[in-house]
Amino acid sequence: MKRLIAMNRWLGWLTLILLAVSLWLVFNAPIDYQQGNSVRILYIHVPSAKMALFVYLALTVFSIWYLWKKSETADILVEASAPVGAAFALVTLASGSIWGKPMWGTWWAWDARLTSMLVLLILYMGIIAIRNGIDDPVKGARATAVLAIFGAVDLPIIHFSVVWWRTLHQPPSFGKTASAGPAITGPLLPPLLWMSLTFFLLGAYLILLKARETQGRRTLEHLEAQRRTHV
Amino acid sequence: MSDYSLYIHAVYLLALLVYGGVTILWKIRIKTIETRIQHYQGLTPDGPTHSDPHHP
Amino acid sequence: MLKAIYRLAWKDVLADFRHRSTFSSMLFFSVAVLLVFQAAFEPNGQEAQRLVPGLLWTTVLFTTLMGLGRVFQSEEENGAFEGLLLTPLPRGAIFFGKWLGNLVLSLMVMIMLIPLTLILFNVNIWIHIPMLLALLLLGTMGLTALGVLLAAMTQTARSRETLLALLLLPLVAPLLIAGVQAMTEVINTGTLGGPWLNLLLIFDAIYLSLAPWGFGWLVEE
Repeated sequence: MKRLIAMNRWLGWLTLILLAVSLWLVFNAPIDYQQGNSVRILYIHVPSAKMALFVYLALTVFSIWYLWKKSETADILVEASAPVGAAFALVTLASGSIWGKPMWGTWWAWDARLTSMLVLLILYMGIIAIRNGIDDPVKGARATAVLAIFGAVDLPIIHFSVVWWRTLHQPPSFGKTASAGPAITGPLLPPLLWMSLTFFLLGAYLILLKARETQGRRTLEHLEAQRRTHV
Repeated sequence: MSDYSLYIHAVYLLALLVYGGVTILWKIRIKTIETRIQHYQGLTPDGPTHSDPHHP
Repeated sequence: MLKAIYRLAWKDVLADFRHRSTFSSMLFFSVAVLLVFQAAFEPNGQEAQRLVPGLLWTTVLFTTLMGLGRVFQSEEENGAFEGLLLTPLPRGAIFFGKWLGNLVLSLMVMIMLIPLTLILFNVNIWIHIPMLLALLLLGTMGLTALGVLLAAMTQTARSRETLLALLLLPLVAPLLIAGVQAMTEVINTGTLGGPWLNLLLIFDAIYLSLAPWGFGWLVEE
């Protein structure tokens, strides 16, 4: 626990330093000849999207770890990852929407990536809801872990079916490049890489922070229960 | 910074609000939980004391 | 073991007809959904025919959701679930028993639902009924497999019905897309097959093979 707090603290400072470097790079990066300044939105949008998916991957690993070893640490990490992933997915959707308004002329399109990201956000919300909705700690942990694993199985199917649906159903209104941002090359790449690294550290920092909160809350609940039996 | 600057500002503000918001929220909650844990650990296990607000 | 699965399913279906009457509530609920759709969209002629696949699948989804909310209810109420787990059956067999019982109920609703939809929406595609039913059956197999697993997951949760809907709807999105597309193809060309049917079958295969494992983890002592 002491080590966790220490790690959390220096991770926080490291994230802040990297954030400063990345932001400096972002606002000194050249302007994209096609999209102008709006490309700066992608420095938030793309790393958020990557992290929304990566946190889910981590969540799945924690879930398998929990079901395998029945370790409480794994359960705490599962519980801590879900809101962090939801935050990343939310920023991805909202920033994509804000980017889409000037670039596509519309806030929302039922494009494959957008739809999958929306499903991912709902899935994170479902995981949070089921973790909070079951009082029995063991049953709750198990249900959450199994749900997370089934979500991990379902997400690729959802993504492929939506891609397929949009390509077979109607000519894709926005090409592959438009929804993800164009293939970024040359001088636009370094700030994106720095930003991605920053967001990776931010994700790790937030998960550890939330894990500390979860652990503390459980200790507190335990103490309160003990107290109640004494009184 | 003239073109699209409204949208760019909106996105960076949004990211700041969401990521900064959860960080601050969770930090505050950790602090509250820690003080309450200390409070409970300070109590004797024999019975309620007057400093316990939940069991006066 | 097959016999045990069958017995378990039969017990659920029989109990349903005797006391719980999920079947009749599901049936009348589906009619109510059709009524709501008609009131909301007022489709006519060609429009109605275009809407039928989406309509049928949405109705089936909501109706199944209603049935799933009650899968473990009786067990939960009189503590029979522990008894069921104490039997020397493998967990997978218990899962398949529950799944089969639910599937039979949903299937009976669907047999009534298809002609009702065609009558109420005035769509003349009667010759396709066997194919429509086959498609709905295939879809419901995967749907109820995932649904029974989620029902087992949420059975001890507070506000479990809401939670079940929240979890089920996004996860069955691929099934719904594939089902609607395959059904549109049946109505337009009169043939059953193609990539959408394959996607439906893949979904079924994945969930029917994985859900028993998931169920085993959930109820493990």
